[in-house]
Amino acid sequence: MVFSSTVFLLLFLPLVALVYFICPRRWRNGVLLAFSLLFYGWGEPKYILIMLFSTVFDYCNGLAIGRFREKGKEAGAKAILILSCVGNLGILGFFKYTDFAIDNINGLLHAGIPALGLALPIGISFYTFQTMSYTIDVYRGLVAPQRNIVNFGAYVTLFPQLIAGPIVQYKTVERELNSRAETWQEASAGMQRFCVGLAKKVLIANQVGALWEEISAMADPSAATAWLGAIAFTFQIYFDFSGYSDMAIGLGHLFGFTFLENFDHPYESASVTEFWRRWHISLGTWFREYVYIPLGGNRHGKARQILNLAIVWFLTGLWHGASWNFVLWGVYYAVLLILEKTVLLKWLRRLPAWVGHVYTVFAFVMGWVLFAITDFAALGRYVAAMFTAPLWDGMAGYLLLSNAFLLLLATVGCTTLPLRLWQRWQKRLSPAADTAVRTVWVVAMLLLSFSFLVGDSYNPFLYFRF
Amino acid sequence: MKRALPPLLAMAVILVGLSVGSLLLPDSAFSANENRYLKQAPRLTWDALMNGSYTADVETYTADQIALRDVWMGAKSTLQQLTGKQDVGGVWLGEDGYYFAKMTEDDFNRPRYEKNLAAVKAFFDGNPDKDCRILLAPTPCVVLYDKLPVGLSLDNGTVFDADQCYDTLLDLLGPQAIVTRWELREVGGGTQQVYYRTDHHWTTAGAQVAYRVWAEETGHTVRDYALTPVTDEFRGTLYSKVLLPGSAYDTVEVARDVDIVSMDCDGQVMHSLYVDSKLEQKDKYEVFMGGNYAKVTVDTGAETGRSLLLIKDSFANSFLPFLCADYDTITVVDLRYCRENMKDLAADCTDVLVLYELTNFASDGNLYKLQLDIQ
Repeated sequence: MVFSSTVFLLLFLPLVALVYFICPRRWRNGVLLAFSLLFYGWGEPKYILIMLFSTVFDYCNGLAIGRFREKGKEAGAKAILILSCVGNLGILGFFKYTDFAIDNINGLLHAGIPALGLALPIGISFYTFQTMSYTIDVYRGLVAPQRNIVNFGAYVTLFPQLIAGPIVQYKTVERELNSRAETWQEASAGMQRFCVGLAKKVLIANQVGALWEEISAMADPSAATAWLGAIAFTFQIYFDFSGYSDMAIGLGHLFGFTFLENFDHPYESASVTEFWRRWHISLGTWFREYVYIPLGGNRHGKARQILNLAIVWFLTGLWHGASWNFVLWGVYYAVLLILEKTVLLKWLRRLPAWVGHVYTVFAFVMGWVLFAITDFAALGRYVAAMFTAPLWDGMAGYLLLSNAFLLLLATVGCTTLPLRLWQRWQKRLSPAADTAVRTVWVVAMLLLSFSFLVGDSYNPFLYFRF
Repeated sequence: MKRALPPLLAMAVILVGLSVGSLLLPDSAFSANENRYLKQAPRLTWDALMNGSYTADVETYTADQIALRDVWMGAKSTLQQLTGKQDVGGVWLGEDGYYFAKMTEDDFNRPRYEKNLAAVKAFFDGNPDKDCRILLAPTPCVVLYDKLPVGLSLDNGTVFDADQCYDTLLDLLGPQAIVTRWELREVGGGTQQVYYRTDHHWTTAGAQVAYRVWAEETGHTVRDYALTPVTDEFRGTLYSKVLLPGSAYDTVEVARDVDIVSMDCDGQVMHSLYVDSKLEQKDKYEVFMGGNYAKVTVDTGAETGRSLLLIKDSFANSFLPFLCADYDTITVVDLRYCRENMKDLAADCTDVLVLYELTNFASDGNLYKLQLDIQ
């Protein structure tokens, strides 16, 4: 099920909210667990089993690590930790990468092994990382093992962030999972956040997405058209993904959970290093805490740090999809980040700020082109069009004209400008006026989104593939 | 809490209101506006649940049966138009209320076009003793190029311009090809409306222009027919795609003077070329012959000693009346549905006419049936 669907908005959300708030506190994690399984099984009922296995597996692992710890048996705890990591990565690897591996083996050795043709269980990349964060943190002694399987199940399956993040680490919600107090203030703020996310997804991401689809299907676009397409995809992926995170964080608040922020206006960054601190923060944090730092981070000299960065970014690329273009995309960022760490950042600091912004925009737009086109031949053709095709044609002019408002909205929308303007305005509003404005805003966003949702058939969530 | 409630409450009212409203309102079976059947409540079975089709059906069902569906869709198109978007739902919003089905060079199926032309040529070559002709009606944007939205033009590569297609047609079929684009442009560029504004078909006046070109090139007497308006409330297929509340209404005209003896439409016998009852429904273009059939045999009552096999798409429906004085019988075939042997049908006729709209001809996958030997 996706948030931007009539089934979710008109049936699922009202129902889960109603049942949740009618039930006494002690049942509420159970309600969330049951509805989350329904949410997850909506598209692919059979993959509920993998999710349940994952839940029980890591629930037991957590308890076992705790038990070994109590008895002072370090080796046992470590063995369970390794078991957990192998199990989780095994599930992820099997479902996500088997066919990719078979394909490559066949390509290299002409082995002719038939592909398994497995459908990727939705959100598997997200929830395996979440459950791993739990066992690792239990092992590190940062959190206590969860003894209540319903509470743990609610954490693993929690539908707001289950499918496309943010990747919520167990330690972030540990306290809230065991006892939390939902408030009207928090629920209201959460639902306002949800409406903003929905609008970002439906009113902007889907619309620029259609523009990107149109341009990427063109036989020979001019350079201007190709750039317009690349920029359209750049906007699509930001509004799609950050919109989803807004909805997830907002829904979390409705049920009394506080998830960490996942995006901080990344397109305003002045370097690629900064960009990655502000884009998909929960993934970056996960890789830093569970891969980069355990590998030694920057504590063993420059050469080792560069190697560590390369490993992390190779894995980050591969995490996004079982395809070489995602690996290329990861390597591309590894090279940029290593260059910045060694020389580029020093140079940028001496130059005016706009140079950094121009360079960063160029870097991530090119990055998204690598990301968007999975087929290498098509990727080559598209990049060639961006740099060697005739500069301008009528199509570029028409598309720019027809989509001018949308592109302006997207450009302003990914900066901090709207937020700053609102905060300035809000200071001058009386509490009653503030409430009135918020109400009108929520109603407007919801109604606008609804009209586009019903009227539009184009409604994919990009991060579903991962 | 007092400050937190209003936004939350407003949202709940909208969602629950829409939800309950959609549940209480009776389901509609058909959307005349969109010209398609709407999804009905799916039946829950174990298999459907396990293979995911049940939940997929529920998604479509709730989206299809949502309260105020047409209002939502119209609101979306209106908003897009207000923000300067000139194509909505695959339709270009042109000047003077003209809508155009979006058609770029990339959209035109050139390989299939050439394959289909070759099939027609082979069919014509197999009937050397007959007067065989092909008329490919130009796509509206090719004729009414001055009505296209700002920035779109036949000259800057943004719109399919048909030049190359007509060149190919003339190269391959030479004098057997009848090209009507210049005459349609001449008439349509003036005060006459040769295409509907909200439908993809040509108007009866447009069909009449093409008829005159046809009559001149084939050596028939050019007859003049008076056109009578039968409705001025037509909103066609292009309107259905955008559902903009401010869309124009088109007038449908018919040539009332044309009489026939009878018309056999797949076994259903009628005595008029027009089915006036279709004017009550949304798709008023069906007034011409009542729609599309596999095979129609028209007994015109004319005594000319000639008969025509007309292989066609729906553009021919409003064109057919103009042919009735020149043939005793006209056999009208829609290759999408007709399962008869075309060679046999042609054998009974003196003339053959292939009449399609150009881009529709290029995307049609049924022309190979011209060469089939069906026993």
